[in-house]
Amino acid sequence: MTSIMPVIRLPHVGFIVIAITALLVTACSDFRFISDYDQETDRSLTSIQRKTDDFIESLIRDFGAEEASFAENATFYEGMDTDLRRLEFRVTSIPDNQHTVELVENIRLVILGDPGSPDGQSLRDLHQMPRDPDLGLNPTVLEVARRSINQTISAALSLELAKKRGTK
Amino acid sequence: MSNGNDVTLDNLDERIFDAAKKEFGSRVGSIKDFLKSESQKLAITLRMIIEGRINGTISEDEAKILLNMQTTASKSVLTAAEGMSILAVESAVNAALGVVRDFVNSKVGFPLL
Repeated sequence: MTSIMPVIRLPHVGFIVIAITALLVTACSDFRFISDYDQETDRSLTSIQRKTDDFIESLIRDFGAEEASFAENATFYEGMDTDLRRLEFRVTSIPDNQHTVELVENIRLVILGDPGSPDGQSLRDLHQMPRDPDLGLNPTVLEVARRSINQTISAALSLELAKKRGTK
Repeated sequence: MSNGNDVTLDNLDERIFDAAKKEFGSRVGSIKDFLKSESQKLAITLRMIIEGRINGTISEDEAKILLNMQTTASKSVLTAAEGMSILAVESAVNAALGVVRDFVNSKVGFPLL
């Protein structure tokens, strides 16, 4: 005898239970339009700010000496490229994090520039074209560059800290 | 016994709006402060570029690059402010739903919010 009861296959029941559970869990949580605070992003931004600030300070101190030339400091830019790549990987892995991704791109732009762009727009671009390559960059130029770099990093950090306050 | 703070079907919209307004207002205030102080910093940097050009400590090529860096910094401030505004909206929505959560959940008979 053939049963007239509808056949409900187990995988479908399981899927429905999981879907309802997920819906309830989501519904009971707070709504999120932007990513949560990320401690690793906060730490990386702070570290990049300190390294860059220390570097500019050393260039100001060494102005006029060979130690301030681009050739003597190429390793700083290589190390910064690595730090930024790691941070870029981190922030792009976090969902709903587009604002921070954009801010980290801007940090790269002001420190290392864009190799594809004909216009200079970074500390590295400035460092590669001083009026006298053996003297390094003029302290006034470095002070102005430092302000823009700090402000760019600070914008990213401010948003991250606002996320931290928002999650409390 | 009910008091003026109780959520009812009649005052649901009022409670939601009040909670959202209060939360959003305090957040918007901090975004305004952020934008004001960052705008002041940008103005000082721009002034330094102009003065450096006038007294010759900054060359024309250097000024162009510094201005590009300044533009990127300005964009970053606006991007951060936009993100903070979204956080303010998020916070207002959650605060608004928070004040009526118990009432709504008890009415529908399961944790909807």
